[in-house]
Amino acid sequence: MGVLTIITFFPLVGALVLLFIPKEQKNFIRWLTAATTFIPFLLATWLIFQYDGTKIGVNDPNSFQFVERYNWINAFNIQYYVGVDGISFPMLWLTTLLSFLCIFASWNIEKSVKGYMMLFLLLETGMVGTFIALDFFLFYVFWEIMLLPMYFLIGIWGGPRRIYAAIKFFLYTLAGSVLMLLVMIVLYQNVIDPKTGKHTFDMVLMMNQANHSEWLVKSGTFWGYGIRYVLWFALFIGFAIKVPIFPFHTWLPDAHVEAPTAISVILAGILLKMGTYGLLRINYAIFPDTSNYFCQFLAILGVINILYGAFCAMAQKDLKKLVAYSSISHMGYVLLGMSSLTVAGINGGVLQMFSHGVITAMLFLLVGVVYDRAHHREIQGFGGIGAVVPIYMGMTAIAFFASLGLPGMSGFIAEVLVFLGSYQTWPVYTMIAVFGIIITAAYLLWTIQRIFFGPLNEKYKDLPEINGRELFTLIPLAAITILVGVYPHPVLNIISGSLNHLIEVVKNPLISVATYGF
Amino acid sequence: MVSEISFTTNDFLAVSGELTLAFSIVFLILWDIFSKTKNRLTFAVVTGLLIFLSAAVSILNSDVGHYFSNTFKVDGVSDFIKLFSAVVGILAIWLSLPRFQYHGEYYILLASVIFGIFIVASSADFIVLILGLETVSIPSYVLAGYFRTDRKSGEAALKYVLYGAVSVGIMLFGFSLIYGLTGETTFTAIKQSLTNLSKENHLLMLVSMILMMAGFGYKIASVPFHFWCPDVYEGAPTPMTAFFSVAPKAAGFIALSRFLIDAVPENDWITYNWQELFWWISVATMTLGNLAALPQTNLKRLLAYSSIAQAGYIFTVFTVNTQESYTALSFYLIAYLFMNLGAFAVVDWIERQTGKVTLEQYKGYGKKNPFVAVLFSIFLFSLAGLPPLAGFIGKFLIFKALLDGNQLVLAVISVINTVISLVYYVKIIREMFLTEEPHQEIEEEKTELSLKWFLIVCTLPTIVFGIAFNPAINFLETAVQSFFNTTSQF
Amino acid sequence: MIKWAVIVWILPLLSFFFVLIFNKKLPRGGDYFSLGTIFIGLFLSVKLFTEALLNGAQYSENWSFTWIPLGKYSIQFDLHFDIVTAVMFLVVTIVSSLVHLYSVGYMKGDPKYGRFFAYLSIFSFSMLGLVLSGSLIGLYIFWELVGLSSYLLIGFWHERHPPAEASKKAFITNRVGDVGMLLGILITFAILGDLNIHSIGEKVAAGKVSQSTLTLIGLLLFCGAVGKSAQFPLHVWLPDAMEGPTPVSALIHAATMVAAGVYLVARIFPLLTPEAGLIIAFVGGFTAFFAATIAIAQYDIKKVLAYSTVSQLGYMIMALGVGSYTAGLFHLTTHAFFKACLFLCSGSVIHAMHHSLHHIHSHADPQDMRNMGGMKKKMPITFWTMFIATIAISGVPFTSGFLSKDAILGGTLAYAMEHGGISWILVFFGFVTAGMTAFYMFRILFKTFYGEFRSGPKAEEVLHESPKTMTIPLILLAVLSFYLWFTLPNVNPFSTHGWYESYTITPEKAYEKTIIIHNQSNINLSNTFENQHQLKAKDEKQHSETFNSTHSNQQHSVHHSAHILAMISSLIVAGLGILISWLTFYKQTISSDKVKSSLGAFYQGMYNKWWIDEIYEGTVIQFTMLMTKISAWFDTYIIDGIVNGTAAITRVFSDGTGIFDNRIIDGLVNGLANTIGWFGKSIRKIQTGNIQRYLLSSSVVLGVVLLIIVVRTIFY
Repeated sequence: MGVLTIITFFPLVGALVLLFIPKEQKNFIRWLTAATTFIPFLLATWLIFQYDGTKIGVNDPNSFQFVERYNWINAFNIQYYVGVDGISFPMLWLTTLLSFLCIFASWNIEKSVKGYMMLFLLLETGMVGTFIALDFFLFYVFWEIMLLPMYFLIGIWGGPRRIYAAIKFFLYTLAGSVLMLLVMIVLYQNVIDPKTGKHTFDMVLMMNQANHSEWLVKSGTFWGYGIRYVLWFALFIGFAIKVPIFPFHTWLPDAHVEAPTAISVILAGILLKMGTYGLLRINYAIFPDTSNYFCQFLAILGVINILYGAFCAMAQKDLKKLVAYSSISHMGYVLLGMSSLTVAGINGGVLQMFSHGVITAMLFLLVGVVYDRAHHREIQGFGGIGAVVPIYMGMTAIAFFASLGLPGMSGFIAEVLVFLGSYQTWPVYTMIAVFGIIITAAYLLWTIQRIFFGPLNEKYKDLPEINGRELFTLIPLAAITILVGVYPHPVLNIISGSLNHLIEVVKNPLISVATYGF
Repeated sequence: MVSEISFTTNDFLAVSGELTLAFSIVFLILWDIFSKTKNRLTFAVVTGLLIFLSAAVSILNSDVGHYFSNTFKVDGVSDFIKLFSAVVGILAIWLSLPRFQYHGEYYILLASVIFGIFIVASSADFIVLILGLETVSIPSYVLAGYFRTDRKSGEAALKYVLYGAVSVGIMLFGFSLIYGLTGETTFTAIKQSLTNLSKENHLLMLVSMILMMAGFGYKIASVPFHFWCPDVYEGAPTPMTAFFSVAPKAAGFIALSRFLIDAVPENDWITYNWQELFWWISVATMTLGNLAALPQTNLKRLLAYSSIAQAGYIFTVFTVNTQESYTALSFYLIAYLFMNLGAFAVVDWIERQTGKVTLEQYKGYGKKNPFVAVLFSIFLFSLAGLPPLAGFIGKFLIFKALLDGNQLVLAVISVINTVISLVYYVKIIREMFLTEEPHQEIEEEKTELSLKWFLIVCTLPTIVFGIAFNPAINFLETAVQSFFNTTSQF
Repeated sequence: MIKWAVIVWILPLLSFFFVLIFNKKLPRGGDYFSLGTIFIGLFLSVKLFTEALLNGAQYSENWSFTWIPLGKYSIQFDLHFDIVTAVMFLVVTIVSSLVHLYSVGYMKGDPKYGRFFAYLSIFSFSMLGLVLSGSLIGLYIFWELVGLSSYLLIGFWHERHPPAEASKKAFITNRVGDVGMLLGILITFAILGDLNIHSIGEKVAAGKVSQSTLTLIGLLLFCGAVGKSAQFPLHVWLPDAMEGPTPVSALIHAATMVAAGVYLVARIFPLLTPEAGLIIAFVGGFTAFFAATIAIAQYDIKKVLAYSTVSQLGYMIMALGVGSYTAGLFHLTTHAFFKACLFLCSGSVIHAMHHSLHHIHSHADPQDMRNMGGMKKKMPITFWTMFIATIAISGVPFTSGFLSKDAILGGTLAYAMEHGGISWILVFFGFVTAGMTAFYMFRILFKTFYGEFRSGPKAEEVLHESPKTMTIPLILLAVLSFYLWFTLPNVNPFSTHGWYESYTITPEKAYEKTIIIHNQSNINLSNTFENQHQLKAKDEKQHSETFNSTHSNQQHSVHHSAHILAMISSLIVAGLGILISWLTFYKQTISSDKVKSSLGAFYQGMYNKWWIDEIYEGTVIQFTMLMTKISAWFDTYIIDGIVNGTAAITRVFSDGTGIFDNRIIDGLVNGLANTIGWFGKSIRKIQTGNIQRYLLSSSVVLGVVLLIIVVRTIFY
């Protein structure tokens, strides 16, 4: 049993252990969960030092790292096949980190702690599994496994409209993923493992167009459209819902607003990234030709996301909703970077995935902090509390400035790289998108002003300052943001090899778009 | 072409399972009449064991092939269905125990239904098929109306009877047309002579086949022969509803499969029409089932519509009609068996606790009885087709079969239906976990030991077949292979 | 040597973190850390400066390391140190350290005293980083970081609304400019794949960029300067920024940060094409003139100074635009000192006013000049230092301002002579502004220090000179406003010719090099090129003498004649300005009220800052808010509406299905059953009709299907 498997299933084992602990032992359950999430984090951190940045992964089966491969379902050649490369590894690490920190952010949960923690651990297994799976079937199973705990975590521990939000999230995401299921099956039937001659779910083999069937490459159509376009699009919708890409984004503000703090963190920090991760890992690598064809479309959506998300964020009165819309805006940068197919753009995009994961986690944690104290999130309802809670204001300022792409923070490098790269491919779109940084600055600073500045709202003159536990969740994230912002080598060294290779794959597909019609 | 009737020992060996069950039923009747003890737990257990024994005998003693002048066929799938129905029977008996401890004839009727399914499973002749179907139906009518004092139960029984009578009537009419065309009753012979049918008669053949669909559709509860289903399911005793939702359906599916493979000739024109018909039936069935299930607040009705929808998914496999699709069908039946029985068991339990089956009873149930609520959720999620549960694998296999057979649109429609179905399954889960009265102390409910184990027994396969379904697939693949390859003894 | 520069640069960062985190625990908020680091920085800067001078005009050092590794290539972080950097280092550290010192007195007793020094430190770090950066991306980074420190410091007293509002405005307005700059960087990177300013220049010289693109790049990069140096139309933030503590205004919004735009234009000077230069010059010239008109009509002492800053920055930009590189930088340097001095003096005045007004419990505005007057007696040091700075900015001989302003005017005049046409407008802007500057600066002086104190005698009693920590910086800055420091070893007060002019050599335009490479015909310029290479080896003195000869003769003569003409004209203009001011505000022979009324709408425009803020409020901001509203509306009602609508439609369908399945059929049947009363109770109960309906429905469907099949078969 390899280390990736341990990282994946350790939380699940922890959840099963929790089953046998009496639910009255709330603190013990909390500490046990914290310990359970800490082990995967430690292991993942240890893996950073074992990671070899020169191995590229992507579509080369020999250069994935920490690979484990067992036959699972022989009848369909389904394997338990896991491994990481530059695209997945940073996300894996981030997942373990945020999961660990979120346990502390969930410390205040009093309502059926045991159930909460068990679901949370199950969620972690699902998330980690999704990032490391290299077998499509396995990927899909993990992908869906995330849904259930998420549904309950929002639905049971959420805010007043939690039921609506939970079901909206659930249905939306499921609608996307069932399309993925169909594509997965079509791919299975049209990809043959050259060694055994059998059909396969092996994603890495799917990435080699030489293994694709004649039907998949040329002759297939669906209602008159070339099959590759249709499949690409079906996958795209599945991932677009997760990202979320306009116009599939409306589940996100609702889910975020209603979810408890820690779940918002996970949702924004990890789950959104699965969409873009899926696009890179599956759409880009398996249908490079089609992705190449559609990347302008992606770029346009990216620009829309950036600006539309920012404008919507500005209009929000609820702090959490504002942060939620800002996530939509920031995920637009990822799309724009990805779509550029340039070294800087795609590296920037993936760095943005990582960076936004950290920053948005901070933002949601901070919203949680103030919500715990004031019991509301109306931006207008505060005012001048900076005088009462300077440390909290400081942390918020760090997070906000990181979010608006201040140099010295990871968001800046990511955004600048995205722009540098995307301008080379899409000058006009980039020129429009750049204005997003003004709007972002506007709504974030305006928010800071409305909450912290001005005369103190007397209602909050005794507002308690942020406490040690909360700082414990925030400081590591702030440190990462700044560290990566100043010295991005650790992340970029891991991702760049794989991503640069991915660009080559997409730019020079074995088959070209011209061979089939749209 | 009537062949000379001559039976061999082999023929009787082939029906040894059925014979065992027949004798068992006779024995049980006698025991019920002459025994004076009032605790019939033993009786129920013995019934279960005998059913199981019969299935075992049937599987062990039979070689693949045609028997009794091609009227009776033994193959992997018939074995599978026999085993399957035995499992359903045993679980139904288990489920019925708390309600019907003192009713010997109840278990005998149940065994009779299973006997009918045994016959349907192997019937390769139209007369035998009708015989089997009626053997399934008649005890079912009685079981549906088993609560003689309950108005709804009686109503259900009567509807069941009438509907069954008409459907079978239409079916017989259809068959009479075929008989008129071919002069044959055995499937293989029908196929033979239909293959050589002149072109003018094709339409007549198609019409007669469609008429025959009435009978199958009635058993499966597919559109437009589903109307009886919600009423009967609602009215019948819940353990029986559970049983009806699985066993007769399985019989219907297997009968239809056999009819399609053995009796329908390979003719492009017919296949084309036939498949289109199935296409529409399955789309209508699943969509109607799902949509109608959405507003239901009566759990039994909800599950009834859900079972219609599930039948719709299964029905799609007939549009492709490949070995793979029948493997998918069989697997889906297995998954469906456990998850559906599990779900009904919970409904039954709550009905016994509160006397009601409306959604309101489930409010806050997650707190009241977390164990049952969690397992119930697993069944529901499995019904909705979420991994890593058996229901998902079932759907996966069906979609795979559809895509293999180029039924992409149908697959997409099924997928959309899956999403719709999630709404009402999740509605129940929402009631159990998400809606709760604040500040209301809920007393924890004590679960009956028997139910606990029943649920565990249903949950394990639901999860195991979702994760490690390899052996099941391998088994079913061989079974279906023999189903296809068993040639008639001409 | 660059290592030392890096130390100077990094020290304030350390102090920032240390003071920020520990200021509550340290005595005096840990201000000595900030002070210590900046004074060490000052000391080292002096050392660096002298060493740099000793190394000669061509001295430069680079240090670069991989910052963003991207596998295939990487983005470098470049540091670049040359004479200009050394001068900027010196300017920044001098002003910064004096402002630090001043703040010890000024900010005394503020509850966030320690944090203020932390912010000053982060500013010093960012500003030094900005001047040290050798690549566009580095410039951009520190560009944003000085923006951050500016934001923090403007909004330092964020308990009140105006500073909070102003800080936000400053940051966002700057971001608008930054977007342009970023686009410039993006285009450069897309074309050249490089961001190091030096190698960009080389690549441009190699002809890799077309001239029109180069113009575009130049102008886009200039957008950054428009934002940061508060040029029209992005000048609106700077006057509002005066809501920050006065030392901040002096340091950031007068002396250093706002000059960063000028510095940027100087850095990209080689990339600027003539077209770009002309536009830049016009932006600068217009800003200079435009801001001066507003400055005349303001009463808030800091507002006047703020608009004056805008105006002076316009001068510098104009100078760079017309190609007077040295003049622009020179004015940047001299302006830094006297403007810092002016602000600190005003701070001293405000400080005193604040105390006095506080004493009499008046809520009058301590910054309003209408409340001041006659403060000369009570605050002699403030007065005299302010006087020196005022004559410096007005361009009175023997001051540094005289020299630098004259250089700019001379350069502009020369440019106009050379190019003719519309460029004469620039000359008009230049000279009129010079006059107006003298006028409004003396207006401050007269209104503040002469005449009667206008807040009552009670308040006057408690007026007092500021503490030593505040006056010493004033004195030092005033001293630095004399010409001598900039012209050494030359002591002629009417000649800019000194170390400054000798060491800040106008870099060649990169596109001109292209011409050399492509044509090989322009001997004159190629000589220049060679000469400069040879010069590297030469002794600095020789170099300074021979430098001018490297210019083309024609240009040289134009410059020379323009220089003298400009000097005379500017003296006249400045003298006129001072005279009118004296007549109006001291002698009061000219009634300012009369002038006001006679000017009418023009005065209203000046007084109301030409309604620029209102225009923005009505256009850009309204538009943005409208966009946000539309987006939010669209999101809630259209997109989410579609989503919920889909759900609703499904629900309607499902209800419909349910109705069809249950209610219609059941209802019909029940009705039927009820009417057939004689069927008897029991029969009605089991609803025989019901099942009939069911069967009927099934049969109908079956029939329809059959019909379809039959019809289809027949008609195919």
